[in-house]
Amino acid sequence: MKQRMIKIIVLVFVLAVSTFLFQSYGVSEKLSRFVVIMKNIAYNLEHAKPAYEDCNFSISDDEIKSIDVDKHARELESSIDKKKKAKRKKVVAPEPLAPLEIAADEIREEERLTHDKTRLVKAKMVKLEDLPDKFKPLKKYLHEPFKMGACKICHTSKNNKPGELVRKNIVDICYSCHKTRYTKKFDHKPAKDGRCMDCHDPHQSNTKRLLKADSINNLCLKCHDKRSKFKNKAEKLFVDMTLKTKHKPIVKKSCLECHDPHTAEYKSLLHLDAKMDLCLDCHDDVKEIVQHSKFKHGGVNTSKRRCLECHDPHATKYVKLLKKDRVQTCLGCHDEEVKSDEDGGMLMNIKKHLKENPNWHGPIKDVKKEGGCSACHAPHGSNNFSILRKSFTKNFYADIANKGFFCFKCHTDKKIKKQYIKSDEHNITSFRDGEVNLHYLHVNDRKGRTCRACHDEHASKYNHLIRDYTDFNGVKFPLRYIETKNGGSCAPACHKRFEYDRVYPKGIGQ
Amino acid sequence: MKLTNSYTRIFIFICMSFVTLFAQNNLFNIVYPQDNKLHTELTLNVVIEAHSQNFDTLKIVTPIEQINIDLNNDKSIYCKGISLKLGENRITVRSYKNKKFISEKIKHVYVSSQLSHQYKYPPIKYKNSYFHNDKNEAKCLRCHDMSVNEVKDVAFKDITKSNCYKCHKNITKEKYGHAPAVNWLCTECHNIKSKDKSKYGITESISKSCFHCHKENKELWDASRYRHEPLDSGHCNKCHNSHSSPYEMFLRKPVNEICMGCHKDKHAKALPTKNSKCGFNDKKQCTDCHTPHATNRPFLLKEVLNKVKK
Repeated sequence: MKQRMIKIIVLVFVLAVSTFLFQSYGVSEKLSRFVVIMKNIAYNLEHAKPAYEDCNFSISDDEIKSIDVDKHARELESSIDKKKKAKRKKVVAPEPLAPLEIAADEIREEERLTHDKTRLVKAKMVKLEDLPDKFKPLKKYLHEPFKMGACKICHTSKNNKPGELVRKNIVDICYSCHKTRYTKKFDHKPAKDGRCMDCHDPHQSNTKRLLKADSINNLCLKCHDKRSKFKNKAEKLFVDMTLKTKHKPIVKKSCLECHDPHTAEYKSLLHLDAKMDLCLDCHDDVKEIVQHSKFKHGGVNTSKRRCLECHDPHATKYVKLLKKDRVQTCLGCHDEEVKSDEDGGMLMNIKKHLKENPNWHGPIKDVKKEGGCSACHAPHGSNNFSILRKSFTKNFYADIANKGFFCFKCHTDKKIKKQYIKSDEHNITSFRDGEVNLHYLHVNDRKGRTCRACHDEHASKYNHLIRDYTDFNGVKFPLRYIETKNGGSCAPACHKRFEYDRVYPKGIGQ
Repeated sequence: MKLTNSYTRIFIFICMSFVTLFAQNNLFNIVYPQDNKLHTELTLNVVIEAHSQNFDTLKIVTPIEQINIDLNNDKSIYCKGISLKLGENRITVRSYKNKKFISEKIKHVYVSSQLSHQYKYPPIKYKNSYFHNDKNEAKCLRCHDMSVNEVKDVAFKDITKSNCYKCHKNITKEKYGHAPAVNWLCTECHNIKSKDKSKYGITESISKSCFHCHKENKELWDASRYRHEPLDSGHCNKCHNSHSSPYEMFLRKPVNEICMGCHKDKHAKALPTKNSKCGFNDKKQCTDCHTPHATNRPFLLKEVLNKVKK
């Protein structure tokens, strides 16, 4: 009985507590709200419209193919970039540039000014004969106001000083007539500072445009010569035109072929981008090669200074306006492993290679006669790999006798085509065992080895440019070449050690 | 209870110490090969651990040869290259002191060959096992440099400088040597730590390693319509010995024998020899008409047949 009683009491107690909790925490309300929400969801699931309705687009496969996904992606990207940039700009708004001091009221193109006499009616004209003595005898070209005797345009005679000017700044006087405003990106320092008189004479001169020198080039060189007094300012501003090779336009015409004396859109007061466009504007043949060749030279194509990487635009000691001598120019960059533009591989460190291997290939050895690196490589670009001037192969095996490979431009192809070399033709090749031509043996086959299998085209430790290691699909095997008086021997990966002798044949290839 | 327990313990300890002493004094240990080793080459190095105070000579007896090893005081590990025959080999190592036989140990090695029906499927008890793990190599360190001293992709000028050369030179003794093997560029292929815990394992289908160098062949064969099965499954080493071989093209056997190893039925049927009793001879080879790799013609016939028709 007791146990039952306790059970009942506990039950009652639990019920009481639960009802109390039910009311105090508003569980019933929450339940009812939950029911309402669920009902709503159920209703929406049944009746609401789907967010994306089914629709029938009939697009053919061709149309889908014609859509350039990459292009759209790029457009999207660029628009996003633009937005980002706009945001950035808002944050750092650049202040508007202060107008140039020398600004005139009007902006117009430079033109030859002719003076309107009516404007000068009130001015008292000075006759040419009445000019001060220092202007006599008169020179070839005269400033027009000077010619007319309208001294009063520029000078006053208030204080009876002979050279007193109308205004304090000479520039203001110049710009009052010559209303061209120099507003391009880069200005010549004297023009910007208003030192017109540094170059031009206000009265008369023997050269056109009233210059203060006998020619345009000499005027420029007054300041920009390497030996001038301004030399210490910035090295690159100065040229040495006494050097042997000069850029033809400078000699035949003037500096103004490339530079503008007052202002220009491009750096160094040039008409076009100095790195390349300006050069290619005249050098059409190079333009064709640079732009359309299959393999491009990184030095021209992707370098920082483009043409100027190797050439100096004014004058140098060396041929082709190169900054250094021919091979040295190339070694300027190729003194470390450089990434190739062709296949992304690394090009060898030629400088180190030449230093380590004393026997050099003819063109590198005798640069003046044979032409250095550019005897084989076209420095601006080529349609053959490694920017070679003529075709060659990268393969280890090739039927090389039947293809006009580059090497045979200089080396005779009898070397590889004759199976036996008779006594009167011994100068053709010394790689022979008696009369058996071992070149023929190695090369004339379906699996003929190419020249580069055994010979290094640049430099080697051994005679005849025999390689130290031959590269067979990425693995380097040593040739183990030993030269003897009348022959030699070789033990590459291809065969065990074979000996040959020109005088006492060892019997190879019989 | 306690007393007896301690007595038994002491007794067992004494027994064990005797056993160990006995083992040290009168036994030698064959480190490699393990018993029931499965092997694919016909050469094998035997590594024995023995102390000179107990014996003065060891004798290795194989089905082919008998080799004597004189023990000296400086060394305790002895390594010897032996030749094997196909199938089951029983390698017995006997120890002598003053020409008196003392003890012997026996190991079984099975040399399997994919090219013969007889030795293609070894009995199941034979398992692959390898020598090159840290525990075994530690034993050699006293005399040998066990590191790999080759520069990747650059062959030795003097091959004797290779650390692998000293022990494994037997592998390249045949006439025709494969360039990477003869130049001891071992890790060109043996570059995988295999399941069996060898440091220098090879890939399961060896062709991956082969085509690393023979790229041109791969391009040519991949483009062909019909390919020979071993080529397709990547088992170049079924026919070729990648180290060295007495036969041209590093074949494991003469051409016709290789083909007949699998194509047994063709022996009498084959066309050029249909009516001759002797079957194939040296002059006529399967490869006169068939190419062993890949071609665009059915039955792996060569592209240009006119040349071999007689």
